[in-house]
Amino acid sequence: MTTSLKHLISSLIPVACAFGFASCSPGLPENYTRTAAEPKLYPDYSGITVPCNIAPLNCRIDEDGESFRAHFYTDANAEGIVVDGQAIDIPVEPWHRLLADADTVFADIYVEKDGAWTRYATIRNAVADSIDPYISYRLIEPSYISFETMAICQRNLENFDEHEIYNSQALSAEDEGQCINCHSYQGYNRAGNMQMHVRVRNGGTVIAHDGTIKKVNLKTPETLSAGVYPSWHPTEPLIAYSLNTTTQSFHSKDINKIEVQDAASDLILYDVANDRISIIAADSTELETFPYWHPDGRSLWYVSASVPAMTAEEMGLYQNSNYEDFKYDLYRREFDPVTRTFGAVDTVLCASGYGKSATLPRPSPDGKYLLFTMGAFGTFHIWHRDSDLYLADLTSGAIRPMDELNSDNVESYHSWSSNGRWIIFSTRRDDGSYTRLYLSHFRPDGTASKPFRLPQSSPSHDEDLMKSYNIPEFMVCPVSLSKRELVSAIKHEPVNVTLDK
Amino acid sequence: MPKHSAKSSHKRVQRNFNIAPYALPVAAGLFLVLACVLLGGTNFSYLRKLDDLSLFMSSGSFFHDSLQVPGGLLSWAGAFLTQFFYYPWLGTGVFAVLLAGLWWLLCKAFSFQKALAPLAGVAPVMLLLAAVMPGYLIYTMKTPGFPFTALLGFAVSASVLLAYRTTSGGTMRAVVLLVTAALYPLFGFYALFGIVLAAAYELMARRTWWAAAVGVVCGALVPQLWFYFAESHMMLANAYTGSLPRFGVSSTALWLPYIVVFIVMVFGAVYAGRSHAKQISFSGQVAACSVFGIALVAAFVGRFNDPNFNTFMEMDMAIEDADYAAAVAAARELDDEPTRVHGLYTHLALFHQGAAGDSLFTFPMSDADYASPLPDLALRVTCSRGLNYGFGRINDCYRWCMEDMVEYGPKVEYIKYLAKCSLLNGEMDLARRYIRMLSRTLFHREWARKYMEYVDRPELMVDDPEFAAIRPLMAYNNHIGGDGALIETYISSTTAALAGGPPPLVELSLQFNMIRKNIPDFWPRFMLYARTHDRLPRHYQEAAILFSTLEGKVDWHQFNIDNDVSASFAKFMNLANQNSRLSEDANREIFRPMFGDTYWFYYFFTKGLKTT
Repeated sequence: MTTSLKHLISSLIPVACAFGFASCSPGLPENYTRTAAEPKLYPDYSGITVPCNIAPLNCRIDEDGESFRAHFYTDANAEGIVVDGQAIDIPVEPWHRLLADADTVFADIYVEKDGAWTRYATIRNAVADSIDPYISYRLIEPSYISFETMAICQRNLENFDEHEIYNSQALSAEDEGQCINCHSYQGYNRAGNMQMHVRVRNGGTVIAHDGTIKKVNLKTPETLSAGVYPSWHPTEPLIAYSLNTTTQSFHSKDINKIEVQDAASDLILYDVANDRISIIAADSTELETFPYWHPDGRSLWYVSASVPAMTAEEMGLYQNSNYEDFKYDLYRREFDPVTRTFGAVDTVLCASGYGKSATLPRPSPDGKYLLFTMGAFGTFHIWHRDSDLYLADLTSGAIRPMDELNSDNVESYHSWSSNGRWIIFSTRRDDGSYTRLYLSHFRPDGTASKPFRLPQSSPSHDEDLMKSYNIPEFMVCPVSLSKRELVSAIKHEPVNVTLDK
Repeated sequence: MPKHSAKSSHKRVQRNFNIAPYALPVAAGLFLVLACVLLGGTNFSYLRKLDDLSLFMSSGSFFHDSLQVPGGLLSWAGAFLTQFFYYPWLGTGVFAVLLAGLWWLLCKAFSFQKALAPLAGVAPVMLLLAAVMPGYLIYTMKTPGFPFTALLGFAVSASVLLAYRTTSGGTMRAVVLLVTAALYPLFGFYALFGIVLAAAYELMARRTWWAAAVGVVCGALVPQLWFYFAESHMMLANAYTGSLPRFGVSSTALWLPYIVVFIVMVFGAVYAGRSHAKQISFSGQVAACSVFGIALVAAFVGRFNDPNFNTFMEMDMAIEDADYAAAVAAARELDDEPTRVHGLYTHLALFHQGAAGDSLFTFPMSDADYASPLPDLALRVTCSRGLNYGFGRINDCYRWCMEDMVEYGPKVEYIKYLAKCSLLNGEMDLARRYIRMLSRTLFHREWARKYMEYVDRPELMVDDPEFAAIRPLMAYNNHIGGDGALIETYISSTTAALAGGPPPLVELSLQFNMIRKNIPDFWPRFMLYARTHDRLPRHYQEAAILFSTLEGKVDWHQFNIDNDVSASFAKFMNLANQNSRLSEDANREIFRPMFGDTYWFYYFFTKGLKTT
């Protein structure tokens, strides 16, 4: 659907709702019996904390019955919103009016069965700090090697608008497709500086910076690969990348199914303005990866696994027989933005010492906490069911698993909102395969609220969607690049970067 | 009678003789016969497979996803109609009726009189041919419901011409083409082709050329506008061809039926522009009938008719239904030299029938070429899922289902295997996701109901004979690696290398070691089998006596070898001694009549089978 058409429809919805509410808003049952049980909702939107500007919590009442009614209200607005039907579809504007200035939103669920109404125990959801209005993610099947159609999308969290920034089919051909990945923004996309990779057909890294857009080739003859996992410096026109020689193997029996491994990896720093790269770390016995800047821009987090020195061929065999021995530790290096030089390596967490493997370090915007993923081994935890989110208190040095967020399935990629009050993370808790996004409120005391699934317009949206959500990133502004601009940049020959020696 | 008067009398007879009243019923009758022969008659399993390699779900999200590409509405409707091939004769009826409808529509659109109606019938005949031409490519085509999609698409094109032709006034004609161009997202190429037909008509009719020009300009612009300003999954490279079949291979032969349809329709449009209710001459009538007749013959002759493929279709559907007896029966009836997919499916079916030990080598083992433009891909895309599932390689089956679903789109076959693999892996929520999809189909919902019960009550799975047969084959240790798309080699080598496990897995390992002619690994598995079973299947006896004789390490007399096997082996050895100076090829023909159904023949004369 075109963006303009979507806007037209979304702008008409409030008008339609206004008419709808004026004329035929359902009333509440007058006669009912109460039950102390809470109703089953899908997704589970009970006992959670929600942002004051979040989209309506549309869900399905998973109870037996013939008629269903839901009443949402607050202390200040007892009349609230009444919605009819098993699939609760809350109008956007009245929902936002309801949440404005509220600290709790209540929901009473009524179910009619055999002619009698039952009212379930009231659901209380806390209303807290606002959340960045946008997120972006990639939609892709939980695939192995093949790829066909994938899209990097941005979603307005205040409603259900989803817009494709770019999809891989645009410039694909019958005999050669495109893989797009690793969208990343500087400073929550405040200034519109972003990057993403295009692989295979028209390959290169698309960089939007200072109002211009270009495609660069980050591979040089001297380096391992093109840039892979990116992190924009918070203020400088710099991007830290890992370079990875990545392989994929398949488990013959284990239900984790896929093992994504690095046979080699290094870190580089890319100067966006001058198209030059420099080496940050390139130890052949270390697999340095997943760089991420500290919010003050004065240090770089990353993880690395130690491996024996060996040839590439030997590594191939070693990986297959010793894949459980690849354990990544957490490191930090000071950085001087003026001289653009790095300090000594600081080992923050020797996860391997605990028989664990840490990845994806993400410091909170206030620099007080570090959120990361930890599993038993390996680097690509989205395929590891034992992987969980962990939190390090950078003041006390205490590290704990975030039990309030973790499930018995995969927790992996995670991002902080710009105000540090919300965490979005990817998890496979729903079915073990299709990654879904969950949000959680992060309190000043370092604890998080019960996570809830990203609200969708229809409760069956995620059930029907045969794609995974990949790399959720918060944004304060939407990406404004047009498809024409992106297509044009991607079709152009890339700018080759040079390596500072 | 003077010569010239006889000639003019003959001409008069020609002028007066109108074959139109007879031509159309005869043509329709012949078309119906051809439809029955080409569809349900000779392609019964193929049609079932078309449904199996398609998917239509009654859900808003499926509709929304379908509309992401140009011509999405046609694909959606095509997928809906393809479901009816689940019952091949029902699908045959639906397809034939719609083709007849297209025929009628073309006659209307081209303003064909009855005398020319057979000419319009060439298009449905060609679409009939197009439906049964792809052969192995149905596994890799990226056009959902392609037979119906093309049929409906050409109907749209013809409707555009009809609407244009019957609309009066240049402005209104321009509006017709503007609306048609605007409907490009729904009808893709076929909307543009409709505009081309209107332009072709206008070239001859010369009524309001500017209306056609407006249409052509809009038709050229709309795909570009849609690409740049609408969110879609459209390829820029396919802007003007979106919704045409995507065969995944460049093959002129596959395009020929469509090209003929294009030509017929453009001719029809031009004719409509020139016709002023002229009487069709006798020779014109004969020509129209002749072209139709040629099309009929061409469709019959040009159909994809490969006995190996037809047998494979039967086996593939039988294997998917776990109807192993039907798979073996189909393999038994194959007269041609089989491909590796036949050999592998035969082994799988015999194994699950418990008959491989006695019958496997009674089937010819060969590696005939695939009648496919993608021979290297044929085994992988056709039976990687069925083989891996049947031989207990559940993760590999799941992997190939996912790989293919990503590349070729969701299909019933993939979803069924994904669901069954998830159930066997104990991933109930994942199984629910897949089964839920099939519960929204017309004809697979019963299947879905059965397996959804397993999700809700996993304890019921214990009594499922299909699962009961697969589970023991899953008792191997985990390792990481991958088959590198060499399906046979991987299954064969990994299973042959297994050192232990439940009896069915040990027996399977034994069989693969026999197939691989691996004598050292044969013995421990054979010993175990012999210790735990009262009767030794014939092929195992044959292998034991052969290997014992060849190596002299194990005395076969300790095993329960049937007298007729030992006697037969003695004859085999005598014959070998008698012909030891002959070439291998000569010996193969000498041994085949008497020993072609023995393991010995396989061991000595079946070598270097090419697999992919």
